[in-house]
Amino acid sequence: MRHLRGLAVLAATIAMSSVALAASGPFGIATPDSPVGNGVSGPAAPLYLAAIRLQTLFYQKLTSALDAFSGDPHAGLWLVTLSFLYGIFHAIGPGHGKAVISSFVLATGERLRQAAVMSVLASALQAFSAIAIVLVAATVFDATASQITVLTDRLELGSYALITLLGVTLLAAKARVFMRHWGGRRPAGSFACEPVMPDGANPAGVRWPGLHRHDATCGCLAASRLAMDGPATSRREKLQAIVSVGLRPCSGALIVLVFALARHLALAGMISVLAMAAGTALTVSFVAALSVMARGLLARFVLSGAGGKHRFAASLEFAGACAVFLFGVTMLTGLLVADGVM
Amino acid sequence: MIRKTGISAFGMASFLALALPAMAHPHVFADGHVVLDIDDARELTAVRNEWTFDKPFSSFAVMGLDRNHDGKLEPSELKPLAETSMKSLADYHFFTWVTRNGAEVELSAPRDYTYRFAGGRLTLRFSMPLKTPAPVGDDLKVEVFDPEYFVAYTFPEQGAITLAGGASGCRATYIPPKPLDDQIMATLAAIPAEQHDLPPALEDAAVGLANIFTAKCS
Repeated sequence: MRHLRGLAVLAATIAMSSVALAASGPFGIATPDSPVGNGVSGPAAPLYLAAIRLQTLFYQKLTSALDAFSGDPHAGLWLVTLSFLYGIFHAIGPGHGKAVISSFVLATGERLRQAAVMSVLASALQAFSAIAIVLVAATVFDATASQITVLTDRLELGSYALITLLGVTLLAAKARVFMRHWGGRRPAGSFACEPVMPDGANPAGVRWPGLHRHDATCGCLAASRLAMDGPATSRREKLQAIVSVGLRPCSGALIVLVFALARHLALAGMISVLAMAAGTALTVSFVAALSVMARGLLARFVLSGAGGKHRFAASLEFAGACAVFLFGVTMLTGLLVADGVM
Repeated sequence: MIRKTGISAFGMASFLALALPAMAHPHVFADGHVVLDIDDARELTAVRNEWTFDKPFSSFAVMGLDRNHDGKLEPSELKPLAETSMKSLADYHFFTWVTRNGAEVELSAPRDYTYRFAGGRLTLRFSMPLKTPAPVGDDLKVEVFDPEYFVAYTFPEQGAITLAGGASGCRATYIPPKPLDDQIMATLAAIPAEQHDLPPALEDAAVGLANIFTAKCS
């Protein structure tokens, strides 16, 4: 639980920091989802454009459905369907942790199921974050949209700071493994695979083949782990990745919730946001699954000799760790530059 | 072997492509109206914008603003929001560009900015005088749009623009944006987000999304 407390302290520090953040949306409320607007180009462009059109269509349909909400079961089902579809296409756009989770699973070699679980948890956290912020802001503080926007902008900053920290942690671990396989020299004492016994005891001289502890710094990489075996990531890192993605609610969810509250449809609004999160989770899981499969396919087929496997895995993990770190640093500096802090 | 290469190459490519962040999704929908002030000398003196926002964004914007809880939003209650919006819109060039022969015509800081709330929708009105009045003609263009597409503007085919001021014999024309085709959108989105105040004249592709207004006097 120590890590949870650490995260809470970090989040609180950022939320209360004296960093003057200018709200970056054009009307000073509701910040666009991508502060560093990387362009849509190349072969993926038509996919994005179709996604933008569809998410716009479903957003307008779902908000009209909420506007005309009658409360009968059919209306509810219709709202859930529209929200779910909106979530799917909305998540193809910026944010929602596709880059973070895909790079993370590349760096750590998570299995398909784990990647999906992380995506679902991150999306769910994002929905709960939106619901908690709007409910507390509206009912307890009678807050304005500007105040909510300042809060979510700070959460965004915190989210990028967390991603950067996660990148540093992963890099520190993976760089060591990487150096071991490519540097030719094994640094003394860095081989952190201690044999462990099932009950935790480790009598001198007893070797337990196949039983050793894996942690973030463990350089003892089984070749089988490349494609089919599970990873040895700590729960803390996974939790950090999930929290960094789910911390900041997206503008669409906030707007829909406030709109629903204003129309005395709090429950319908919350259900809509949860259905959106289900759609988002599907898209993010899909992207994370592609990452897992790409890793698996590459591992299976690029490699011949046994020695290459370790090097390949070490390189891939190092690349994934670099991606997480660079993503965090880019988004963080982009946000700080946009806010005139840097 | 070749098939396998293909599969993994595809897998990798789709992963990389999908993992990239994209342009903003529209979360604000505004019905626009433009008023051009043209004086006796047939010069454009000011551009007035009227944007009526969609219901969801409007209710988000007015959240917590009914300070006296009378169920109505008085101008005084909406004043702080107008100040905030004007301050923020400055970073976005107020989504309004005036060009003459392709060169940017400078606008002064907005005046008379107000929000009104009616029928669940907010309307923002503001006026931006030209620093130097510009003669009306084919080469004088007013463009209103959000190049980043966070705000989706819609103008009616008829009645998108009205002329005001002392000029007689002047007529206005509204040229709607081209339908968003893939190429325009892709080029558009390649504009870095830090360049909020990019003059459209510098970026041909951006014109594809622009609502263009011109006036002619005979």
